[in-house]
Amino acid sequence: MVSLMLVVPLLGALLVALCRSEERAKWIALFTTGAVLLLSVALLFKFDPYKGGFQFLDYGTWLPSLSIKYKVGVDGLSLIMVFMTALLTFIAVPSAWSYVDRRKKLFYALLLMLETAMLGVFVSLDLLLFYVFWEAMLIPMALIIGIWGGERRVYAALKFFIYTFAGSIFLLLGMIALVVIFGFLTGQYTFDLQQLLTLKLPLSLQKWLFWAFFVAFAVKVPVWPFHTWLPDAHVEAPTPGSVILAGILLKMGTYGFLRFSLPLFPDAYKLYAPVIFALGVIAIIYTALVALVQEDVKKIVAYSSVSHMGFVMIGLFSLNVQGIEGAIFQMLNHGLVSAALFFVVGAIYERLHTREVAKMGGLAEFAPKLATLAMLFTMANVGLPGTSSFIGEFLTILGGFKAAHWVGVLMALGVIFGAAYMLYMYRNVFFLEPKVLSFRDLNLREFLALGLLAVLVVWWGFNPEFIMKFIHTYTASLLRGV
Amino acid sequence: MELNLHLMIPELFLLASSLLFILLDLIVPDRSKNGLFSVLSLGVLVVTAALVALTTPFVPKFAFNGFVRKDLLVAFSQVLLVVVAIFTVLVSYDYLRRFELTYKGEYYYTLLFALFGAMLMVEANELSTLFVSVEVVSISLYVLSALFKKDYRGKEAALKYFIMGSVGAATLAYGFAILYGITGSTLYPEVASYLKAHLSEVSLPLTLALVFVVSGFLFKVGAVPFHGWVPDVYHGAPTPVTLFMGAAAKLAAFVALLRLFIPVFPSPGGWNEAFVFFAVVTALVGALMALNQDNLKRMLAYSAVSHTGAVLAAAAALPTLAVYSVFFYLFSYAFMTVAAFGFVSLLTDRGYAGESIYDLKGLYGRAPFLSLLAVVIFMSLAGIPPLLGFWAKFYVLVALVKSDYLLVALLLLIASLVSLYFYLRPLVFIFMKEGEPKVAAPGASEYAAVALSSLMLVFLGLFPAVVSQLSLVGLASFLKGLL
Repeated sequence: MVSLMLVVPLLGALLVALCRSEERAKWIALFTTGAVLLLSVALLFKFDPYKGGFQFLDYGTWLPSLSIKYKVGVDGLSLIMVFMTALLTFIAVPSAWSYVDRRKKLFYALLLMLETAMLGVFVSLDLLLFYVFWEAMLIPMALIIGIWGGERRVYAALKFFIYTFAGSIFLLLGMIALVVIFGFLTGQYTFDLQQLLTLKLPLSLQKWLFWAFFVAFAVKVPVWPFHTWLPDAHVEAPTPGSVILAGILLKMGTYGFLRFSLPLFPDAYKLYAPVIFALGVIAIIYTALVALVQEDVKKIVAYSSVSHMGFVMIGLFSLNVQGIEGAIFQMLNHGLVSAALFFVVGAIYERLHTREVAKMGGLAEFAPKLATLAMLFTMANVGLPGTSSFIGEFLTILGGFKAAHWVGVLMALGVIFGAAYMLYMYRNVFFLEPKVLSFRDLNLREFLALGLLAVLVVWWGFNPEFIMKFIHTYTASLLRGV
Repeated sequence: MELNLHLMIPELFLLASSLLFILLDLIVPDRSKNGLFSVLSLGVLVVTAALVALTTPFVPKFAFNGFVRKDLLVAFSQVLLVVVAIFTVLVSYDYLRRFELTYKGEYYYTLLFALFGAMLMVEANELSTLFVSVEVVSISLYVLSALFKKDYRGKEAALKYFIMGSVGAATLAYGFAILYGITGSTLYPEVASYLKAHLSEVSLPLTLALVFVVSGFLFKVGAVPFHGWVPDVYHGAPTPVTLFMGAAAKLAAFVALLRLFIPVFPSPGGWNEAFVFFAVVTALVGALMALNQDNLKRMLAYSAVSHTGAVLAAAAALPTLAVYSVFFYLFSYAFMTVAAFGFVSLLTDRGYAGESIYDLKGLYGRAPFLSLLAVVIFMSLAGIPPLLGFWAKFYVLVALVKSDYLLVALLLLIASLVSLYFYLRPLVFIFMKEGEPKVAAPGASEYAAVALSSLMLVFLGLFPAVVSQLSLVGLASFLKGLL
């Protein structure tokens, strides 16, 4: 079933490439991503949340000479990430519907290939398979930014590609070193994650390998000070590109920490947690302050992403149930909310062809539907109780507080700044004196896409257990291993 | 020891056919030469490949009284060389048609001579055989580089290549001579056993011999500090010739290097360190120099230098890992080079239009499929998974880490990070800039060569086990009776 999810988007991409009409491409993409979403929902219901370990395992040899396997499967964490990926890629198609107006076939083919690579990252249980998907994703993403992006798109695409590649060379080297050490100690070579986990490395080795993996994941998250590619990439990317970047790509980094760094190098992970706390707090407060002075709507949302990922990072390194569950929940929730906010910004840009806050104002008068939904997502981004963000942020702050009091205090301070820049932006864009003559409200396609996200945000705000139940078993076993 | 002439049937067939081509060239009318000779060459090449497959023994065997050693590593390398030659002929046919070369027959049989030399090079088991075969390849390539009568760039390239190459060959010959002087034999096994017996003696002549031989090989593979000729020659030579040079000559040189160094010279003998050092420098210098190149051929030439560094580093790893990873890399690199230079040749029109990176502007608008192939080619060269180039890089890294060269592996990765920038640049021009591409209408056989080789990069990248099994079998056969 998991393998099927990996193959379906590729088939869709092939179909897009073969079809003659440029217009039909987006329908094919919509149906393909829809099918993947249905598969992931089916996975959600067929998954047994009370059973530990991986489910739906698929297994096969790939490169026997180094015993590299094709091994995919999902546990609670992967399941949520897979669902989020399928959902946001499905949302990305309507966000591109009219934004992408040329080379549509290429765009949707790349989008579908990207989906396979992203899903692959979240389900791989073999280190090298993971790395292959992790890197393969760069090509379609860089092309999406570079072809359909804004004015400085080439610069942004190259920066994105080179930055992430620079991080992953350390990951590759670290993986090879880990496997060679494993082979040295046990006499057999394997890239199988579950087999590698059986070995307990001495702390001196863990330290080195931890940092090698850290760089790759930290660039992707992005952890301050590795975040400078993100504002460029987000701002220049087309709307669907931003939706996927903010919604899914950033989560790959935090997913990597949970899937690899924590279980493989638990001692080093514990040892360096204070460093990460410091970086996380800087990210939360510093980038929130940066967001406060931005003129560009998209930049505000982009910096808010960096700030929110700081919460996730601290939650992950707090090493208690609340922190980790909160971080996982916040990953999902930030995916939904930031994707929605980028969707809103994209919708505004399509109508006004500007992203400058100063040139907008009073949009609520013209577009009540857009304003209402945007209000909901703004509040969700701030962390208002009743939206899913509240659950995630509250739990991560609680986790941070339990780990070290000062961290919790400073995180809470970050929430205030978050409220400041989001509300400030909302007021300037939707209220005040109208600075535009006319503005079209959301059409049905946009309304349905945003509405779907809004429903989920509110539903999980009131009923987080629907998601949480999948990660209780996972978190418990994870923390038992530490 | 005996003659075992039947083992040499493929080489003899190839040589006989090329000699026949010389005679044929005298009678065939000029107009039909390109078509006739390309078809004939293809036929000869296919038969040669089949003969290699048929005559290669499963157990390593010697011919010409031990001057030549035939094993499966040789067979794989030879078939690979023939495949590269087939691709070269496919590309050449359209290239020569477009450029109206005066010497068409000469072109094809000189190419076959070069292939003959390369095939001999990978199986040489004796110093003078190796030297002669290296010269056969080099001299054929000097001639091929200067094939266009009025092309000053080509002439410059050929002259440079000739002068520099002669110095390189002289260095190599000098090293071999000293080695003969020390050991009293030119046969690999005898040289090896003498050196092994006198392992403890540190002698000046042996050091000198090693320095000369290593330098000679660095010269032939185009590694720093003897890489100066590479960009000029790659740039100046006709593109199909560059293709053959980059893929086949390099492959033959590296296989010959493995076959000489690993069994003959005592392993911790200083040459490993020398290789590693020059490898890292080569990889970094190649990558840095390529950053600023606007001419695709020059850029690819420096990228070839950078790749040479990676292979050289792998060659210095532990013997088994070295053979395995070097063969894997050469296999992948052969296809990448064919695809990349085939792509350039496809774009080149009369004069030098189409060679500049700016000529690629807006190529996607005109040739979408070709543009996607370009993504495959350049990303494979950059080593992005799941393309074949990634696995080549990966195996080199594994070999280096296992041999305790962690820092070298890191430096190679940094070189590959630098390379990423110039591999992305063509894609930027193809996809992200608008413009009318000034490129030729592609010929069918060229197009087929590029498409086939780049699809190989995708297919073998998804199923790298094929290549890894080949390398393993080749390795096992090579080591049989050696270590």
